[in-house]
Parts: sequence; structure tokens; C-alpha cells
Amino acid sequence: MTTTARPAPEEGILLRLAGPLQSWGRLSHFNERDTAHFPTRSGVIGLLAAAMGRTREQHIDDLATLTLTVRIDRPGVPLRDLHTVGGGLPARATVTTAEGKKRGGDTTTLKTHRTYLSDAAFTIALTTTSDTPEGLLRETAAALIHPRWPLFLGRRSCPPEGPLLLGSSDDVLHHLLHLPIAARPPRAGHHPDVTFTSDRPLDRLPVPGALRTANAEDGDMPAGQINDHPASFHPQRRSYRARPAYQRILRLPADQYTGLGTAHLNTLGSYTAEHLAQPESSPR
Amino acid sequence: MPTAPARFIDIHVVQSVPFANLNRDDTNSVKTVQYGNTLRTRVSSQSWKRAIRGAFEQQVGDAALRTRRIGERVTKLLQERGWPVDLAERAGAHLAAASSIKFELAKDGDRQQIANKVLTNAMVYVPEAAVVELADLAQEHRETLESAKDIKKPADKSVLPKEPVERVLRSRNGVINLFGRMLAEVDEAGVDGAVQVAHAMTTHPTDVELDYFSAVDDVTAVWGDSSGSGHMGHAEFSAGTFYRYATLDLRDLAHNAGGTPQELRELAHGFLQAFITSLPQAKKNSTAAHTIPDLVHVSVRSDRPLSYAAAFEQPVSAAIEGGYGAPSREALAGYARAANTMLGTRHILTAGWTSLETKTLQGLGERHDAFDDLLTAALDAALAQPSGSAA
Repeated sequence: MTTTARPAPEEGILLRLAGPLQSWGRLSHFNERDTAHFPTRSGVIGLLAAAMGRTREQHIDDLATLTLTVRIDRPGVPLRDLHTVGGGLPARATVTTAEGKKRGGDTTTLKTHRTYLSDAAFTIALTTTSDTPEGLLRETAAALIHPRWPLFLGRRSCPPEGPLLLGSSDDVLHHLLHLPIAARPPRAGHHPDVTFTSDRPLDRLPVPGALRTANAEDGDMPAGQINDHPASFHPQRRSYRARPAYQRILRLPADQYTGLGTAHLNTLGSYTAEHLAQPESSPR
Repeated sequence: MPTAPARFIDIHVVQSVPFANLNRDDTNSVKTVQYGNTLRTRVSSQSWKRAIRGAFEQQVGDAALRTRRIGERVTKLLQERGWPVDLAERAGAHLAAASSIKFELAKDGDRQQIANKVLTNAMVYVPEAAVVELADLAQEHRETLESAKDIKKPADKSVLPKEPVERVLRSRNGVINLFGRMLAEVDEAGVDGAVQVAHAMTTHPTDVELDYFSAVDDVTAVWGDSSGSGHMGHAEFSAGTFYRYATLDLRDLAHNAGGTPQELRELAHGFLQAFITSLPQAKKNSTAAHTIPDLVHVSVRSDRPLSYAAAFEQPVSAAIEGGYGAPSREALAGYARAANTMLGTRHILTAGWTSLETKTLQGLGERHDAFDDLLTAALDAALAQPSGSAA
């Protein structure tokens, strides 16, 4: 294989989406609420809109021009949670009891399920396209420091842990590769795969030769399609479009895994202080 | 014009709960979650929020009803006011059918249709006073109702005007302003809640215990026939030290509630107090797990809410002499110090803590002896008018 030239560095901001629970709905309807295995474009753009204080009725055209590259630090495990609602429903629409019967009267309850991703952590690079308005990233970063509304990871019961905005950089994809990973170091000789997903080709990741896996693809061709590009969050006109999904799998060095909780927060703090610019926060 | 800085009140609780099952799933199992690669006991946010709502309503004396049976509830009140049964039922049905919410008619065992038990398809969520307002509305239209037909099928139209009924369904009180309301069917009835409550989870790995039980049959026991029991079964329980977190968006609460700073303070205080003292009540009669928090930490921030869940991502190990309480409190304080180092403390307007712990915990702000002192200090700082700016 010939060595290709390193793609031009890009400026952008880095986010960290981590917490005990997250839920990035894709195909949710009525009583069954699902989650994707990674933060969706609509979920992240919604999070940015909430930080900036945009209501659901307001436009998101500018935010939707941003592009998103996700590093799956810890994929997490799905959690299906029973959620009961109310009572007073007709018997046929109620919970089946342990005996296989239906409840009646005042004990009737509607059963719904929500799926969460537990124990997951993601690092995200947000970059601009030629359509992105000047200054939008700066504005977004400031809003993430002073969000208008409390932020959440897909559902309101899922607050993020630790810093959400890691900082900004002129070479954001380089840091997406090198930021500490919130996981215990792998055992000697083991090289866990780290998956990257994006809405654009991943051959532009500046991957040092040592991290390439033998037969892994470059991520230059779409691996599939996802229906998560938001056109509008308006309650009566919510709509999404399909977009290509690119995927790339890399092996990151063992010393990049810096543990959990407080230990990770400390290494993350040192890394961001040394390598990333902290956008000026503007109190709103 | 400068605006008041956004202010979030974060409340963090460490609380030990003995053998209990506060919140179970459809198989009666203890709810769990994997975190930091270990399995923890979990209590869902929706479960704890309901307990908070109950405690809040009791303290503040301002309840709300979440029901599909608003019509029947008004019928009852009209009967108490001396209305004849059939007219009161007709009035309740017409009131419930008057809004934009679709409805169905209650069925008796899915066979016989019961006229005049109109169930709205969506649950309405209204201040308790709405029942009186709807009854008054029926009173106003009593003559119309006396000559009206009963509602017998979902296509039947109400004889009552839609707008005044919907106005009542749009009414709010403190608890709705705090927790929000989702009612898509009635225009402008939706309220975005001002509180965000996380799922509670233990700070350490837990095992779910299967408790085998048998019920003694008193008659055969008296006869000395001990060969069997009346009933056998098992139930699931677990014990542990929980981390609980919620944040209150003061600006949103002010937006929802309007009102004076004093009213705002009462709502915020009521929520925080209810968050501290409430406990989901599942299996309370067989476990009586009525504990109070080991530690409450409140911080008022002008930048963003901050959960300390990651303090327990690396699960806490029991102390040498046993016990998860003390190491959990230490872990929370340690994480708070790390987070404050990384994010800075200039956005923390005030921080404080109250605990059963006799040692001093560094990193959680000022110590207060009583929960109430802690809340008073936090609310004083949160509601103080920032100098040189308009609220």
C-alpha cells in the first residue's frame, strides 16, 4: 500500500457524551422506544439546539450543516426498561398478570418500554461544511458551556456526566483519535477494536500507520444508510431524511485507556488543558 | 439589557437502602443497570419522580390529578351537590367529551357498554381545582344538559362549549409547573417540566436476592399437621447505597410559574425537600425501607447542571469494616474536587452539604447541620437578584 498524503487538518469542536444511561431513538413509536447504538445526528443536533435555547418550532438548518464523527469509546449494553403509565384503561389494554389474567377496575395500567444504552461513552468531533454559517461552531461551543436548558443524552432522565464540551482545535480529527478513552486498559496482548462512525467518508481520519488493522476498510464507502438527518423538530412536522453512514474500525494504543470515573476525569482534564482551546464562555 | 444568569440547582444524594425492592419490572424483578462494567440496582427516574410528586403535593397542599376519568370525577362532585344521578352522569360525560381529546366509553367486562362513563383516550393532568371548575361549568349549562341526549358512542358530540373546558384543561398549578405536562391533544396545554431527574443507581455492584417464603395455614398448624404450607413463593430484593441526582432549572420554573419570587422559592424548596425525603413505596409493607439520605449535596450553578454519576463509574469498594456509605461519600467528594479543578468554580454560586457523616468532606462546600439550613442557604444564593441586572 502506498502512503497517501495526510488529509488537510480541519477545525472543529469535541464533545464527550457519557453517562450511566443514554437513549438515541430512531424508530420509536408509541409504547416502544428504541435506541441506536451510537448518538444519532438528530439527537446531537437536538442537544445543540437545546443548549442554544431554540424551541422545537425554531429552525435548525444551520446546525444541520455540521458534520459529526463519533468515536465509540465504550459501546455499552442495551437496557429495556418497563414503564407503566396511569390506570383506568379498559381491561383488554392492560398489563397481563403473573397468572395470565387481566386486571380490571382501578388497578389497570398501560405498559410501555423504553430502551436505553447503559454504560456507554462516546467522543464526538463536530466539523463544518461549506454551508455552515461563519461563527456557528463558536456560538455552539459557548452555548454548551452555558446551556439554556439542562442537556440530556437522548432522554431527559439521562443527564450527561462530566464535561460535555472538551474544547476546540484546528486539527479536531487528530484529537478524536488521541483523546483518552474512558475504559480500563486492555490486558496485555489484547487490542480492542474502536469503531468510528460518521456521516461522511472516514478515510480522512489522520490514522498513524501503527493503528491500522490488517484488513480493515478505510471507511471511504458508505456502510449503510440511517434515517436520522433532521429537517425539522416541529412537534407537528417532525421529519428526518436518510443519510449515508460510514464506519471505520481502528486499534488504539493500550496507554490511551485511562480508566473510569475520577481517574479518567483527571487524565481527560490534563489532555484538554494541554491540547485543546477552551472557547470563551459568554454568559447568556 | 443584561439578563439574569441561567441558574441550575443541582442536588446530589447518597442514600443507603436496606433489603427492599423499591421499583420492580413486569416480572417483579429488581430493576438493574450495568455501569462501569458492573451490575447495579436501579430505581427508574419515573418511579422516583412519582414519589417526589406525592411528597411535594402533601407538603405544599396543592395536588394535581392525572386521570382518564375526569368526567366520572366531576359526576361524583355534582352528585355531592345534590344533582340526580343520571343527570350528573350525563354532565360528566358531556364535559369529558367536550375537549379535543378523543374518548371511548367504559365497558363492563368488555361486554355491556356503560353509557355516560366517558374515558378520555389521553390522560389529562390538571390541578385538583379543575374538578370544581368543571362542575361549575356544568352548573352554568344545567338546562342544556337536562334536555341533552346521553353520550352513547365515541362519535357523539358534547352539548357543552369546547373552549371553556379546554381552558380548564390548560390550567396549571405548582406541581405541573415543576414536572411539566404532555397533552398534545389540547392546544397549548403542553408544559415543559423544570426538573430533570436521573435514574438512581447503587454506587457499587449489587446482587439480587431471591427471598423464598411460605405462608403457614393456621388451621393445619393448630392440628399439628406441619406437612405443608398454605402458599409458597419467592420475591426479589436487593440492598445498597444509591446515588441520586436531579437538577432544577430555575429560569424555566420562573417562566412556567410566573408569580412572585416568594412563590418561586416555595416551589423550589418544595421540590428539593421532596427529593430529599421521598422514597418509592413498592413493597413498603414487607420491607419498611424508610431511610433518609446519608449525604445531601446542593450546588447552585450559573453555567450548566453537572451530574456526579461518574464518581461511581469505578464501583465503590466496601470499607474494611464493611459498609458502602462512607466510601460512597468520599468518592462523591473526590469526584466533585476533580470536576471543580477541570471546569473551574467560578460558575458555582454556592455549594453546601448535610450528612450523617461526622468527618469533614472536602470539595462539597459549606457544611450545614440540617437539610433545611442547606436548602435555605442554596435558595438564598439562587434567588438573590444579581447586581446590576434585571431578572
